[in-house]
Amino acid sequence: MDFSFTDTQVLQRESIVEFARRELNDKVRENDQAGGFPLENWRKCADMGLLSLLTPEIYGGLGEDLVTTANSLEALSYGCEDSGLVHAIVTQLCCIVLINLYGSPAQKERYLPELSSGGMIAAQSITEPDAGSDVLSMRTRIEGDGAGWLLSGGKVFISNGPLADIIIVFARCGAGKSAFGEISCFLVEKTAAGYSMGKPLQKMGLRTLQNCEMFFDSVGVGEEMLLGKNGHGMFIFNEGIEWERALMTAAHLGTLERVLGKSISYVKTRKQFGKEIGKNQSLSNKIGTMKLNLELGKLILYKMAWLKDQGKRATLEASLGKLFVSESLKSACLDAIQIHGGYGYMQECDLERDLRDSVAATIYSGTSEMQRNIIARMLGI
Amino acid sequence: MQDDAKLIEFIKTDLARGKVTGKLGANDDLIETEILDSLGIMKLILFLENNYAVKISDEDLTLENFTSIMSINSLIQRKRAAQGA
Repeated sequence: MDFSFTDTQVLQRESIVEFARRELNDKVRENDQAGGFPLENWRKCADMGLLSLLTPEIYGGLGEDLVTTANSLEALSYGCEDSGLVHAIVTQLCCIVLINLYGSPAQKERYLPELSSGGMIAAQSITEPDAGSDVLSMRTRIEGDGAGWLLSGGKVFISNGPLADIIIVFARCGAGKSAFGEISCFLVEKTAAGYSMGKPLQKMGLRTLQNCEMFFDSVGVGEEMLLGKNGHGMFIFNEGIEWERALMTAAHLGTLERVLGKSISYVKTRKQFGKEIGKNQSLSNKIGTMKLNLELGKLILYKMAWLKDQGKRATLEASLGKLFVSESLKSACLDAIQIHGGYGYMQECDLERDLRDSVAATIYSGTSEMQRNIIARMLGI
Repeated sequence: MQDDAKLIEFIKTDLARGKVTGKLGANDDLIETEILDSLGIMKLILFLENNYAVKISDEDLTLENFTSIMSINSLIQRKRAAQGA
């Protein structure tokens, strides 16, 4: 068992951290307060190759494996303080993965180069008002036959939605109880007749990430826009969610490491009663827990990334990692604020933004409660 | 058949979780009885790949292949024959 990264991976990580600190942190607080998307920074990330990590070289990408991609995302969120931008990038990567895995040659040719260069933005449209993790409850329907379908329904909370040029939409094509044949997956372009979206949603955190409702009013969809096989949507969803949980976990770990570093630096410089406050075990213990969770999180992350790179399934590992790291991040942000005292509670310290952002991590891509349910099911309970 | 017994035991204990009170028959419909839900199918695929040395591909993911214990067993036999096992 070899836990080391290659020299290339180490260099890649260092260059991404340096790039993120130099280019992406200028107006994070202002952008968070305004709630706008940092398009210029998005383009810088595209130029840096961060959107093309998982795209095969024949479509203009870097063709990296998941271990390398996870290492790069860790580096990005360690250096970049805008978690909303990082989330937008992860969403884009998830869409690229699905199109690469299930798309037709024509779909890959049309979308992968544009998505990888950042010229197009993609969104996954799954969640509905009455259907979150219970995907079979979705009401968005696709009706028709191979000659053409009509897509009708509505979705909520869609990340990258307001900016999306291309949307991966999951819809019911049957009415049975099975995972087989009941859900299909389609690509819908923003110019499609009958497609519209609501205003960007105002959120507690991740404010630079753009989310909205989507409405499909008898949107005509041709055979060429079917992603994967008709009726295979559940399997596409299950595969996609494993990749999403791995990529999100990598991003969360980078943030956790940044919060840890900031806390260590503070307790070594802040003095009270004639000594560094880090000499107090009540504070150093919090930092010890952060470090423990960071290292354990990396072990889970890279195990699941390795499994995916071997072409294996990682349903259990993806849930374990997503649950553990998102909860660890939220705890670390709370502890970091406590360590920083009154200063930590101020916006200028930036930790309150990390905390607000981290709460979302325990909700999207399946809440912590759902992850525990999945883990229990995978253990036969 | 030993394969049957292992598969039946897995479906009864890990997937059915109280949905089967009596004997689980080879032709019982696993979909209608809601034994195979969206997570259940992922668990089943993992079980088959780990225990029968087969790789379940996208092409195999059809309702016909997973309707009953008999159809799952047929799928395993076909996959093994194709792999030369």
